[in-house]
Formats: sequence, C-alpha cells, structure tokens
Amino acid sequence: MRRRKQRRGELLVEFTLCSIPLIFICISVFWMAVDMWEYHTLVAAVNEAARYASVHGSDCAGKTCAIRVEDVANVLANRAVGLPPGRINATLTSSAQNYTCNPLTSCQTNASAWPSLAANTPATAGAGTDISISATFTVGEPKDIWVPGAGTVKFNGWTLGANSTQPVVY
Amino acid sequence: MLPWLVISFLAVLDFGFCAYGLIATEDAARIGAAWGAAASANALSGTTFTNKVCTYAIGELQYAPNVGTTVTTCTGTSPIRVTATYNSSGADTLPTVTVTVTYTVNLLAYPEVSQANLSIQRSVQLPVRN
Repeated sequence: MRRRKQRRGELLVEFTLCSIPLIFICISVFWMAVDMWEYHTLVAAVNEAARYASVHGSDCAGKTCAIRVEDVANVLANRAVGLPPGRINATLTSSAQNYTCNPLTSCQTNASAWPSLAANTPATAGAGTDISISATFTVGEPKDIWVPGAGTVKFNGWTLGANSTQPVVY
Repeated sequence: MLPWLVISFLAVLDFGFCAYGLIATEDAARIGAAWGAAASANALSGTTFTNKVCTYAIGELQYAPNVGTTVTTCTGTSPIRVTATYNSSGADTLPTVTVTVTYTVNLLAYPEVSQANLSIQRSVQLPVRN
C-alpha cells in the first residue's frame, strides 16, 4: 500500500518529460514540410516566369505581344502561391538588360520593356541568346521559442533559391 | 514514438530535396530540348548541343543539394549527366531531338531501408521546328 502511494503521479511526470521533445519534433516536421513546399513552389514559379519571358523576346519588340518587367514579375509573383512577393528577391538577366528586384514588389510596377528587346534574339542556327531568372526566398516562420533563462530565442531564417536559364524562343 | 517522429522529420527533408530535384531535372530536360528543337542546325551540332544542355541543366539545378556553384561540368564526378541526340525519324516520323538529364541527389541513408543516393532521370523528345 505504501509503495503504491509512492508511485502515484509517475505517469504524469513521464508524460511531461516525453511530450516536450515530441511537441518540438511534431512542430519541426510540420514546418520542414512547409519549407519544402515553398522550395518547390519557388523553383516551379521561376521556371514558369522564365518560360513566359523566353517566348516574348526580340520577335515581340515593338509589337502588341511585347512585355515589360512588371509582366514577368507578376507572373513570378502569381505563380509563387503562398510566397509573399515582399520576401522574394529576383534577378532578371538577359544580354540586353538586367533588372534586380529586391524585393520582387519593386518590379511589379516597372513598365520598362523586358525581354522584348532587339538584343534578345531567338535560338536559331547556333545563334540566339538566353534569358535567366534567379530568385531567392527567405524563410521566416514563427520558429522563435521561449527558453527558460534565455527568454525568446530567435532562429535565423534560411534562404531558398531557384534559377532558370532558357533560350529565347520567339 | 520519438524515433518514428525523428525518422519522419528526416524523411520530409529527403523527400523535399528529391522533389526539388525532380522538378528541376524535368525543367532542365525541357529547356535543353527546346534549344535543340529550335533549329536543325542546333539539333545536328553534336557536342555543342550536349554542352548547351549541360549548361542549362547546371543552371536549373544550381540551388539543388549536391550542386551549388562548384559543379561546372556534366562529366567526371558531377552529379549531373546529360545526353542529347538527334533522330531523323522520331515520333510521328518527324525529325526530333531527345534530351535526357540525370541528377543524382544525396540522401540521408537509413541502414537497411534506403540507399545513400538516388538518381533522377528525365527524358524529353521534341520535333525540330525548322
């Protein structure tokens, strides 16, 4: 009877000790999955935007199909579902003109022609130029934790990236 | 319970890198094929075609694990391999180009469960435009 009394509350203590790391790992699995989804979304969006740009090269210069920096930036922003454009940094590169969008929102109202410029020629007979879009996204989830004695501990976010270089098609 | 959660954490990480590699490899093959299919001169350029496909593949996979800025070729110890061929009578008996990109991603090896790396291969065939 005396021994049974001494063991009362044992389950509660064990559960508490186990549940703390379990909760942290559950949260880690969740956020890692979210980060990976962002990683995939970014690479797909960058490829889509580069493809969009590659079919609007010098053949569109001065025509109704001509596009601007804001068009490419908006394709990238719209395709990157769930990634705030304010946290995406992008670089648009071509043999004619380069643009740096830090962040992407700074290019979403840029009416300069790109890549519909005479120097961005289609890939024909060994000639032609490439266009390239490179983007990075800084992950920033609520990963801060409170540690007794140290207060709130902030984790530095990490940067995900994607690049797509494509030949100008038209 | 804890070992399973730790394994699932690592599995999410591995699966994520594999999925990224899969998307980027597919894109690389399409881009390389698009360049070769743009003109018969491109499709028939042999080594130039292969080198061009390699350049596009390295660009696409630049942010993938095991690549970065250190990989500059598609031979030797490079995790990226490419082949680019011209077929005078491919699909629908049209002249086509076929581009194959292979990317080897390093995984966290689980003893007796999975291997330490995985090769992702994607092939794209496109008709030559002119």
